Amino acid sequence: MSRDHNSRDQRRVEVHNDFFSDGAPTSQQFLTQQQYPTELPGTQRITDRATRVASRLTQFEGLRGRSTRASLVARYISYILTIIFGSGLTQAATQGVKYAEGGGIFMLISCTSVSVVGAAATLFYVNLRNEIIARVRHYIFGIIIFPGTLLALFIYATASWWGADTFSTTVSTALPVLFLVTVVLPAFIFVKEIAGMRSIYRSTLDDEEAVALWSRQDGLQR
Amino acid sequence: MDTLGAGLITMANGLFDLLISITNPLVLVVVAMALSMSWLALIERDELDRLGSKPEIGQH
Repeated sequence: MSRDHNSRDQRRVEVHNDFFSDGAPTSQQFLTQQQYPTELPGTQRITDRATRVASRLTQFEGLRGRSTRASLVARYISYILTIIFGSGLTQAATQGVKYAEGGGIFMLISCTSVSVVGAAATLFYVNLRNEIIARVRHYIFGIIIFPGTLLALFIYATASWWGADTFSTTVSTALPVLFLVTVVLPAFIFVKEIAGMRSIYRSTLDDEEAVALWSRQDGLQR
Repeated sequence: MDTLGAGLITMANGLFDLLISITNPLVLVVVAMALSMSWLALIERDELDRLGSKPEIGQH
């Protein structure tokens, strides 16, 4: 018992550096807790930490580390702009179309509810957060924005020859319904899917627990 | 004093106008979407940070 304590204490001393003896970088959170005592004034603590994070990133990941993070931010900005642009285009294309008027607003509200519910779900299902992000992206871009905008443009293109004949009546009734199914319903389905995530996976284990169980490193063998 | 009062009232009116234009539902929807997207971006960045470091396990 006492030997365990000693080795743990030694280990704590060893990881005061930025890296392990094999050159691998240490976990950042642990370091900041260790190296920044609370006596430092708040501003200095924040600036020190920012400087440290930046220099640490350059030290271990080089310029690629910075560019990876910059491209991540740029990607999310482009997501937001794409959603706004797609909704604007849809709003313009469905202008004056019976049963599809204001489609852009519906599209925007749909995307917002999917992203807000997804963001909230990452707090409740922490072990599934990567998958939730993938689902959010799939719903917003794969189901709502691109197909919905294409459908709105199709509605806009066909609306010019809609008349009183059977075919026109059928198309002019069917397309807004299809738009509803493409743009509005997925938001509800997404909420249902997220709310039932635990029962879909039928497991409340996180990755670490599951691997420990499968590889029999769970202590049950002793 | 009157000039000061008039100036303050004009500034307050401008502030209220700004507030009214910001609290337009459409803007609120866009802001909510942008905020939740930022949260997802933070999570992805956190995952990147975790990939870039060796995990520390008390006893392995």
